[in-house]
Amino acid sequence: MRVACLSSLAVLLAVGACSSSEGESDRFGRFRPRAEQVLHYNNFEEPEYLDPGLLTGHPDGFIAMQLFEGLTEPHPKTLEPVPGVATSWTVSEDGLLYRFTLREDAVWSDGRRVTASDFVYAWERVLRPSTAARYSYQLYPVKGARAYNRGTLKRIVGDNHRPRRPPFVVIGQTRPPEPPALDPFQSGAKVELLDSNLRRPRGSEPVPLYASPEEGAARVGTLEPSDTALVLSRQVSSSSDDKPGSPAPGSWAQVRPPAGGTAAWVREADVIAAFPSVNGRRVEGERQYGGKQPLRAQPSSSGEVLGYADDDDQVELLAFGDAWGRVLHLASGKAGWMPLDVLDDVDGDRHWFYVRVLPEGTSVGPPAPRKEAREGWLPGRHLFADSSVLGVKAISESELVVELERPTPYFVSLTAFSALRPVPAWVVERHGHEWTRPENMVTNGPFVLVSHRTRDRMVLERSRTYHGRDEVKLDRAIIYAVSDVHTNVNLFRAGYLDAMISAKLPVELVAGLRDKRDYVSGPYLATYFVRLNTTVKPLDDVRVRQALNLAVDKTLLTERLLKGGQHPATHIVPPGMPGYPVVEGEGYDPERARRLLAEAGFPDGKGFPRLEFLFNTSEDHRLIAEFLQRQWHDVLGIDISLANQEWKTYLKKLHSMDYQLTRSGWIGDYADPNTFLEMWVTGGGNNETGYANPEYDALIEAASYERDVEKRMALLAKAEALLNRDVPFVPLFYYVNNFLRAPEVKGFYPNLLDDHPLKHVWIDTTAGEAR
Amino acid sequence: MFSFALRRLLLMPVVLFVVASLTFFLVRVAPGGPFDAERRLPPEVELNLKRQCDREAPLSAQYVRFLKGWVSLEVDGCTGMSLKYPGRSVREIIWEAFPVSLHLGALALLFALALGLFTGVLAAIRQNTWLDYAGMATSIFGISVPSFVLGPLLILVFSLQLGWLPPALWDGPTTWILPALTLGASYAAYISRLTRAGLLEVVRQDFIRTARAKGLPEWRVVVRHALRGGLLPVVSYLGPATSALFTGSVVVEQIFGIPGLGRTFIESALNRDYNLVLGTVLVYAAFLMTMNLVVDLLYGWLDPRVRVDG
Repeated sequence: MRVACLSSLAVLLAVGACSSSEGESDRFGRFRPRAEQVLHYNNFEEPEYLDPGLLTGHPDGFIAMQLFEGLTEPHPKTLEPVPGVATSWTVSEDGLLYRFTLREDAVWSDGRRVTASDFVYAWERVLRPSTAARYSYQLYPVKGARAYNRGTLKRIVGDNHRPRRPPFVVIGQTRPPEPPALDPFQSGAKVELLDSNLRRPRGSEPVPLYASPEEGAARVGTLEPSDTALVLSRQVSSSSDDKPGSPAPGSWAQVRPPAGGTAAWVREADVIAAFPSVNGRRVEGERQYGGKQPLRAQPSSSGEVLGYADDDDQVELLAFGDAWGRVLHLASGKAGWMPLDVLDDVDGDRHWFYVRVLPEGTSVGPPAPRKEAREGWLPGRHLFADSSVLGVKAISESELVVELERPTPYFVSLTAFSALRPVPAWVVERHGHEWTRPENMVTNGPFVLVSHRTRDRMVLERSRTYHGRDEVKLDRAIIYAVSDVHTNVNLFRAGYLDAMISAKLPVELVAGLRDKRDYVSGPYLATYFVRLNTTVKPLDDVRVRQALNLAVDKTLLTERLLKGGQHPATHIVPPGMPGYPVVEGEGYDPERARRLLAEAGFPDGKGFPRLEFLFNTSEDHRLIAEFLQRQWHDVLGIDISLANQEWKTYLKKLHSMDYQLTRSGWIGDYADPNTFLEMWVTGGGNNETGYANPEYDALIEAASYERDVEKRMALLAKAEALLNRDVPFVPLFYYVNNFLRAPEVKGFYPNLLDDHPLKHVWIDTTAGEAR
Repeated sequence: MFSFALRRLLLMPVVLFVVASLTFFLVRVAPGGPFDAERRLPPEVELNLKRQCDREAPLSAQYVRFLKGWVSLEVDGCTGMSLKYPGRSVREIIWEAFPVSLHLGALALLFALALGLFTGVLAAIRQNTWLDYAGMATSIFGISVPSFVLGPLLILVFSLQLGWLPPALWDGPTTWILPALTLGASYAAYISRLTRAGLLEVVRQDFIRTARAKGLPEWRVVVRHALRGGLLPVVSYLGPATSALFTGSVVVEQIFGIPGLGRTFIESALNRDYNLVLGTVLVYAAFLMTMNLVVDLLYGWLDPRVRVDG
């Protein structure tokens, strides 16, 4: 133990760790009497986002889990979904329709009730293209979500026409300044627009495209149901001009087909508006209601009245459906529904829209500063897509109905994922990116954010409004962002930390920790593997790839080198996936490895080019790289050189496939094999090996449409077997979920995703120093 | 003297401009960008991120925009916000981190000066005694042991073994001690050697002999006459030393988990947080130039021979 500890200077601390703990105690961290219900937790990194809709990192997700409550929450041990905001849910026979019943006593930290609309808003926001949420694809199981999210935003270069009538409105100042006399769609003009107006065909039949907007015009092509096209202009039939939101018979839209090419016309009745109109930050307007107008809780005339909007009141349009718009009434801060024809102007003269035309060569500026916006015109930022295409609907305040694209057996667990947690529309819309600052933030989870010091710590306190506040035992949680493995361990050892994020222990220390009471480990949904670039010689030969895989003794790697309890891997999907079989790949077989390499034309490695192994700079990765270098040399007689790069350079090389061999890791997003398999389809964004197998693609595709759970798993297993045969990567081991946790901390368990809802955690203040 | 200072002050904006421009282009030359992550984004989402703030515009246009923003001091959501931590402005992050580094640097400097001057003077007036040898041997140790060795050693002894002080964090006086010692140790050693050498050179000079001859007590000779001249090398060393100490040490901040500017700087570069890199570099540049100016002026005041005239 001592020898191992002394192995490097950087590990100097571990010496102290080892020598002073020998024989004395069964705990690694110093005992500290705990009188308060306060948890000191090291999250390791400064979270990028606290916004559940935008975050991607694991440390960010940990914080969001404490601050926001989803429809369901993961059980701290098993990760099974347990009720959160939803008290119960039902699934239709065909597995496509989910009905969630929300609890009546769920409230936000500002006292407002958590309603089904909050979820609709949050999900729509994640999917809204202008949000650019990285995890938007987590919502793709929801009907319409993918099409909605992928509606590409482009700057419109206008054609020579004038929009007939802007179909929606943001209420601005009562007396707005005269809009500048500009023709926004001067041919070739660069206009300042955020969202474009995309439409997708209705139904499952391809929609004909015509050369001109009239019956009997020549057909010039078709739009497929999955297509989205950029709307360049509209020709609205005059008889129904004042009914926005629903395409009038006889109206036409000029679109640029997805494949590019010349613009063509399509009947509006044939397509569904996904982005109904001009949609930009300089689109503004004003209107008069002609008296008080009710703001309703649901988009129906029988919906509960939440309040009234006066003539001069400002409302912001958040989203709108066919006839109803969801608005934020700025005077009361309430969000509710109003009929669109009320929002729209009656005589067509009173509201103003303008699109600023930018002189050639200028660039679109940043969003206007808030202060300026309040004084003058309201920005039209909130005018966006028609969310009615999405399969998520608030039936009432406490009933949420979700329609899925196809059966997704893990959908209920998915509702605990951060991107699906609710956010308060009135706060988000008011403060923009700054809504997550402690002074602005409104949350609905068991804890609230009290203070935040960048790259140092966050202080969370038990929420006084959380419905389950009486069950929450912790008064406070102090979440540090100490990002050094040794500092992390030092703090724990000296008794300043109670628990920490998983997998941040120095490799050389783990072996000595294994019999301590404060060391915790369990399986983790993550795999460490080596990507092989299948597009370069000689790695394009499957025999070479198989040889590389067979020549690595993974058991030796985990038992002798890593010694942290990792499991050797022969395939990509970690064990423990509910309902999924283990699809064993091939193990260590040096004889066959040599034979395969000889068959590929490199007997005993002769003539094999010197390949480069790329990894991002880290001691642990280097150890593993050196191990592989040695194994491949000893077994196959081939030499590889090691190239370490700092993180961003490594990513650049990985993404552009400018490598031959590279280390990789993948952490599952949810407990379903799909999260490890989907990425290997041809051209998949995270494939990055050049692996392309139509058979594999077909299996993954079939699985995604398969409604029967068992059959689906069988299809996925078949697909994984193909990976094992084709070896686009060499799986090395499954990560272990290991961390240090003071024995006095209760209710804090290791689990597959390293998710730790702190509402179950408490401190045993009665524990003494004795074992 | 005045016009010298004025000239230097007038030159500062020019230097800052050059530094800012160089940084602007250099950070963008590095491979990868602020939004690269291990998981690839759907192309549409990636495009969207790029669209924000016109990041797909030609570099020259971005540069013009950046200059406009910084010159008019009206940094907006695109030039003044951190790219890694949306919702937090560059100014706010630097304002949070810089005082911490200043604080740590000041403590380290105080420690270095106190220890260095004391041992240096002691060694000089007891030249060639065991005190001198012991002091200078220790200082060799102080100079040659890097902070990434000293820091962990101190933690090992004082936190992990003795349990007297916290091993990390920035929470109050008890957490200040170890990082300040770690950071200040090599400076103390250096100051000690410079003081000794400077004093030894001065005490051999005639005016000291005169002072002694007229019967002044030894301490007055040292403090009043010898120190003033003997400290010149220390002062000229203090300029760069202070700048280095105050701008934060990455190593010490990392070892002790201190949220200072050194870490901010390095991490912003690794994250390709272009705006934050620029902000930090500008703060550093301005600070270093100010410190150098102060030292030059101080030097002139201490030693009439180098006094700069207009």
